Amino acid sequence: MIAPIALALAATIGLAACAQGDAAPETTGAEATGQLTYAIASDPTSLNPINVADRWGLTVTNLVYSPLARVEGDGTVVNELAESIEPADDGLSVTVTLKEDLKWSDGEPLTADDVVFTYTNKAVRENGNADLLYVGDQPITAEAADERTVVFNLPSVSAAALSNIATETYIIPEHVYGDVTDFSVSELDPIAVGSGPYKLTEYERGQYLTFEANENYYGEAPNIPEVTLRIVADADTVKTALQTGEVDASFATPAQITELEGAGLNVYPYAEGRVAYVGLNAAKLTDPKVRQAIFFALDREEINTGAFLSDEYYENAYTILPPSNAFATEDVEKYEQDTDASAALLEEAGVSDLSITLAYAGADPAQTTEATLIQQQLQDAGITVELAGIEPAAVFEEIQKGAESQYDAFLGGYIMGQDPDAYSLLYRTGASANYFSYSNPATDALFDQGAVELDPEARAAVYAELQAQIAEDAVVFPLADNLKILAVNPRIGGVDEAKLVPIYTLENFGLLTEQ
Amino acid sequence: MAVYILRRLLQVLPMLLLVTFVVFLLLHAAPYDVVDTITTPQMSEETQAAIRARYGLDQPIVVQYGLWLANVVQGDLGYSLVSRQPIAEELAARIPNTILLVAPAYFAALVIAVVLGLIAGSRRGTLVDKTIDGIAGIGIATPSFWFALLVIYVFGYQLRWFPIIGMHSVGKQGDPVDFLLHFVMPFLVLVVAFFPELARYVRAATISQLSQDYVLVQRGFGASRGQVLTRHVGRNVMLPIITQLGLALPILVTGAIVTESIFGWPGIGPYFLTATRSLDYPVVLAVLLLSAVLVILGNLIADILYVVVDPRIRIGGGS
Repeated sequence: MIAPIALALAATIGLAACAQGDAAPETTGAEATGQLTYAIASDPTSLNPINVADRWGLTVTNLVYSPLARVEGDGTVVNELAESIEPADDGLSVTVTLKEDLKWSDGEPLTADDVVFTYTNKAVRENGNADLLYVGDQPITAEAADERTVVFNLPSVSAAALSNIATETYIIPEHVYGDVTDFSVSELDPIAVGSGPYKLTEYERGQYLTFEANENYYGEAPNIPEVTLRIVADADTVKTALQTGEVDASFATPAQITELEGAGLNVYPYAEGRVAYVGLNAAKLTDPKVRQAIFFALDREEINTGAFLSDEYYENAYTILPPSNAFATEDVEKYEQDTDASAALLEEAGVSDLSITLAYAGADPAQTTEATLIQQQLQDAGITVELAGIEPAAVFEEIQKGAESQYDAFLGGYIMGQDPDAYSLLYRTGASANYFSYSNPATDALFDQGAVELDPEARAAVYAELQAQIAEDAVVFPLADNLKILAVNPRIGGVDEAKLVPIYTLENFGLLTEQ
Repeated sequence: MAVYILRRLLQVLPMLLLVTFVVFLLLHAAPYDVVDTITTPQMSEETQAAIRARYGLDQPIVVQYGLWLANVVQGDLGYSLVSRQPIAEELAARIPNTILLVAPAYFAALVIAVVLGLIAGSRRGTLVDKTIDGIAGIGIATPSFWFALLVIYVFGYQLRWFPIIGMHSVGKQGDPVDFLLHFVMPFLVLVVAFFPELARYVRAATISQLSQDYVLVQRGFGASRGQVLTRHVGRNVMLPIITQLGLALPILVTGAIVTESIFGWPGIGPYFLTATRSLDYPVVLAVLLLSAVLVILGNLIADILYVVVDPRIRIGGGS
């Protein structure tokens, strides 16, 4: 499922076809060790399921805890702790029934009270991750009807809330954390009681986290009893460690693919539902004609191939939604390169000698390539681009100053998940992540309409119109959903069963096998 | 002597205040803060503001600095703003790992440098001298991250002699063989990073000593080059080396930042680099404070050792 974690700043790079290399990797034929080593880039920022929002923290959370349900990439809901999830007809409540005989890793029963306890604490704004549990200014509340039944009450109708309630929240045990007064911390004490396939056994900061199979897990017992997340910051070191078999799996970059495949590793590309884009600052480039002229001067294909190396590693994006999203449409102005249209629009707008400043993450090879290609393409259209390669956090802080910002354009990417309402955080007037300084009452109205529309078809129509509207307003030029690449030692199988998903890498590490 | 040391230590205080305040100002001059680096588009402005307020980031700079200083004076280095872990504990866990790697590497580099430096300096202009000087030159010009990758490629990947990641294999803490296997490659990289400059330093000192009158006199009395080198020149060359030793103190903490990051060595390097990138200012300040203290202490130790080694040098005033 797609966590509503937005790695807006993350520079993910795309991936390759999954093919088994010919060369025998060094570790094939090795005895089964009962262990899996997965390399991660840094310490998790938070191991507290109440406020975790970073990639590695969520990876660990997903190993140790379980949500009520997940949303798959295609939008279907898969129950985890929940046996059934029933939205009320009026859209104002949801009733969740838990599976029978659920247990925590310490053997205690997992009940509706634990669920209520978790949601109540997560809805506290100070704890840092409450926003998804709010509709307007009012929190969603939870109450236990009996041992196995939880009723969620919505303050008002919200289609998005219905899909958000049961997912994304990892349930924590009340009998262990009942006395905790401050849930804004990054580690609960003890950190190891959960209901996921694994339990955390050891955490050496800066080095590794080790896990072993949770014998009380409600699902299939994990095939590989021990998992180690090894922290390695340097991408080149990770690549070599994959080649030597010191780690079994890790993310890889497109540039590393050939070498990794040559060494016999299996490579799995998968979409995270990310949208990489060129953003325009509407507070500075106020004339839509000028913005459209800029977009008509761009060649999407050339930029994507340059940045992500091969069309195996990305899928073109044309709207604010990633191409894999169930609500995505292609029925919008795609801005296929048209230099005549560009020139005509500039002339209509009465603009000549246009010069803009483009900000991007200077340390990110993909964005650096995108930026130079954009500069060259706009140069051909008579638009001068000044490049500013800086820290990603600085790009977004500066661009949010709107008309006061030094930058007219910027490069970015976001992962906002399945529900289209989540994208209102980026495009609604005055929204918290509206980097574009974009404001159109028509767009806002469509977001309002989509949020409360419970009929799926009518909802899809609303969001199709919304995507077309934003495309026409030309504040964002979507480039691609650039794929994430997982490289795996052929010693390890079952990747398809364990299922590649955004953020967590694998939906269930316990379904991996040793071959 | 005690008074001298005490006075030197007192001079240190305003220096530390100044260093930390300047760092504080510079960090705050950045166009974003730590909250910007940890926020996501899902986080509402209310939440961001709440986080800023909780960390005191909404206060004026001077107030923030004052709060930080008050805590440090009480021995509290504070918490990382990103991970919320106590910095003192993190440092206590990581610094020994760094010292374990850097100290042996530095001493090995020093021994190599003294030997090579004396040989080169005493044979100035010969092929041997040119070779050693050339090697030192290449060493200085070689970025250690590049050399580290080369070492990993050859010994880790091609030859498969050593593991690449970390200080020990998971679950093998305390196994000396396992530790040594992990230790060899980063150690080698650091030796190569440290020795060239030291060797040049020794060489230059040797050359300058050899041009002194006392060497001529000794040679006039019939002393061999070996005797001159070991009995006289060597001893005088050791003086500046001793000074170098004191000055090397901060290297124990910050000397291997890049190398540690490449090998995933759990020292201060990866911790400091990550904190810098996310503007986690309490961590950056704590490491810089520590480093500044060591620079000053190192200078002091160098001065004291200088006196111990050569009693002809007297500390003026006070004692």
